[in-house]
Amino acid sequence: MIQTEKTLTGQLPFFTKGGASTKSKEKQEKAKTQTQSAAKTEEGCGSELNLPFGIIGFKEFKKAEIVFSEEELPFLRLREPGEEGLEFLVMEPYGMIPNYTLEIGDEDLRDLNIESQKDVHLLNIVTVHGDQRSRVTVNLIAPIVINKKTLQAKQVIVSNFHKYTAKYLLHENESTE
Amino acid sequence: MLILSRKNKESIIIDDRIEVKVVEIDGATGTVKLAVKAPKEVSIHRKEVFDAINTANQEAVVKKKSGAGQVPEVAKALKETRAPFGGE
Repeated sequence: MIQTEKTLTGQLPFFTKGGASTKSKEKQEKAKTQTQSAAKTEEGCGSELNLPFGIIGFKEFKKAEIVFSEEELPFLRLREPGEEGLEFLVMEPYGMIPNYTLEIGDEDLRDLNIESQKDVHLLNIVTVHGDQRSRVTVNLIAPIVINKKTLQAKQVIVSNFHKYTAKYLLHENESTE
Repeated sequence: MLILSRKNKESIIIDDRIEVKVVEIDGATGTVKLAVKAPKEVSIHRKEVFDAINTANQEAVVKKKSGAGQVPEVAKALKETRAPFGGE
């Protein structure tokens, strides 16, 4: 069983290779050409994931790309290819969720051919509720677990799910009343 | 929903390839322990957990029309209230 615990230190997405995080314009230009093959319409470059099991409730969500733009960070988008592709807002929990110690079962690790903790990368699905208080919640029970080496991914229900909620409140606007 | 009664150690077979077996019945707590044997591609979850995730996933889908337009706004608010993010 692999346990991952991230402390409150910021960390850029592992797939940011020369993406929106670079400072100078020159660097950005260089980065653009380097990532041309994976470049998408937004500023950030894409990493394409394979999800052989789809995700819960969306068994056909099997191929998705990670796209981001500077102004949306720390949020990223997980998007199916094509015009009508499904899209989810996701984020890395590191530095954003205190005390997030999740346990991933061996079966799930085997499904993704994960051999060591350092091959694991996590993305949690974010919901923007679009209500009056602009609530934003994140699913801590079922992160998308990614094998960094193979870019295979799966939405996994953590073994210690009792500890967490699928609607962790990340943000809401103060009441104006 | 098909309703069957099984005693301890008895099983049911679903779709010729999935077996659900009662392996323990705890009279005191009313808890029944089940063993499920199924091909790898068949996902198995406790219903309440599955429902919570399924609902969350359905609600999370970004609607093309609204396109989660307030994301930059929220991202900004988040950055302001949290420890610094990123290496810049």
